[in-house]
Amino acid sequence: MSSPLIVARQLTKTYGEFTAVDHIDFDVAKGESFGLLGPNGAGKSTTMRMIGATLQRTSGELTILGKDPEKLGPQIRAHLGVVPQQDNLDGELTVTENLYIYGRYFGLSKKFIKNKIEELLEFAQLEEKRNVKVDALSGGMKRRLTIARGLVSEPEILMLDEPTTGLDPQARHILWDRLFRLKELGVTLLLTTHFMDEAEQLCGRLIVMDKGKIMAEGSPAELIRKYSTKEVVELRFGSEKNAEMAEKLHDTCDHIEQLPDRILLYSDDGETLLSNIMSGGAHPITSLVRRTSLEDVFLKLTGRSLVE
Amino acid sequence: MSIYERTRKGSLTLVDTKRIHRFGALFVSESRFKHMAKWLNGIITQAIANPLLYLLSVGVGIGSLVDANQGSRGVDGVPYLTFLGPALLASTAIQGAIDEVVMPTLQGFKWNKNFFAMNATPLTGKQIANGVYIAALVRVAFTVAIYWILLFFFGALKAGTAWLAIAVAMFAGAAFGAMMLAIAGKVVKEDFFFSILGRFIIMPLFLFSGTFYPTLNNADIPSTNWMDLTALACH
Repeated sequence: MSSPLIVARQLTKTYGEFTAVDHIDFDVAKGESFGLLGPNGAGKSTTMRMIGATLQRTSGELTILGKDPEKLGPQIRAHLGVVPQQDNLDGELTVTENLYIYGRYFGLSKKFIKNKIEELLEFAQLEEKRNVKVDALSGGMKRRLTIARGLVSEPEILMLDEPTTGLDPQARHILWDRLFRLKELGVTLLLTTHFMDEAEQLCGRLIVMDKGKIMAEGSPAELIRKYSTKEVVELRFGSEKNAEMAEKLHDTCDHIEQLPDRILLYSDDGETLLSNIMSGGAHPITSLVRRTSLEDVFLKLTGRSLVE
Repeated sequence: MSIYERTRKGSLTLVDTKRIHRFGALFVSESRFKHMAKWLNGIITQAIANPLLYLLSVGVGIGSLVDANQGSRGVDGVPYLTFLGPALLASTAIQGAIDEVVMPTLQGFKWNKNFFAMNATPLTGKQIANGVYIAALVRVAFTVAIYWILLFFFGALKAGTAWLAIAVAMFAGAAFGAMMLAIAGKVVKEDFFFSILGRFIIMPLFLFSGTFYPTLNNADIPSTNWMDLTALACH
């Protein structure tokens, strides 16, 4: 087995008294699709910036492609494709000009970039927008262009920080399709997200982060199996009655979570549980049986929702 | 499978870090030239119209009044247009350099944040700064060259050493450009700083440092050596 592309040991970043990343350990293997899942402020982006060789760590060890980012930043960045949380495309330039100048920052020849632009426009489905100024593109198009730009140098690792935040559902699905193709191709993907469905779609393995620490690590299916039941029943009794009903239903299931607007009851057989609750005389305003997701894993681990 | 997926070689094969180490700043300059190309007509128009209007209105217009009063003594021993020309050349270089380093720096850190995009590539911060600086100096060289040619056709360049004014103006632009690039990088979030700088430092320098009259007439205000040097070359 080849050595991991990214190795973090006791990786820590502090800002004064505040610890943004707190002694975390993880490895990312070549060709792996690895995710950092957690709410805003969990330390995901800080971790990404340290891996991207643009932020110094406070302590611990970190190697990317076998190199220390604090000593060999440019040599590491030469093999990374970075898609930041906020698009930083050049709004005054056209789609092709953005791809061209970014390719030049990697020292690529004009001839190579010219051919590469055609490939990337096809990949990002932006052929018809090639001569359009970036300022005139939609949010989804800008995001696809930012990803295409990150691929111009054919990086060993593509880093995506919250790749679909702010996009509408259709744009998200187009983007997921593009990223899934890269995953199939064997490009090592490293992404942060606070969307559990995105993590489930794209990540072969992930770490769940909260307050700078790793709460759990594994594949989405492993995490759900380990930390939750197969199904969950969502019941709404109205904000004033939820607490009372949660108390009453406490012994009917494996685990119960009370949220401000609903109660979550965890069970391997949601339909039977719901049927038992209804026959027991409870009358929720709405009820729903659904498959357990990473959101539930996060809730179980931290007692908090991913999006608060 | 898309073409991208079929033709992939990988950055370990494609990216030459030694080349980036050597030429990184020039790649940044190239991107600045792409921006300038968007405003090429404006850049050319400004490079011609600005000196043309200044030389006609102040140099020839006001100059005719000054020369009529001064007679054969002239200003510092030369016609007013000849006195004025080199100072305008230097001040144009200074202003051009300031504009071409401050605006891209604000754009890079604040508006487009494209410095952060550059910083995620193998480029270093030093290469990014040098690239912006080199591009600014190329723009200044173009503007100064146009100005100098117009000064020549206006008959403002008397001495055989007048070509040295180009070099002196370039040094002036380079000095101010380097200083302003450093300042802009530090105070990039303070919009008001650049307004204050323009109104209370750059404009007074332009008005009171010997551009329009000999500094000996105003001994309390120190002269800007760049103006004196360019004048020395041309007179």
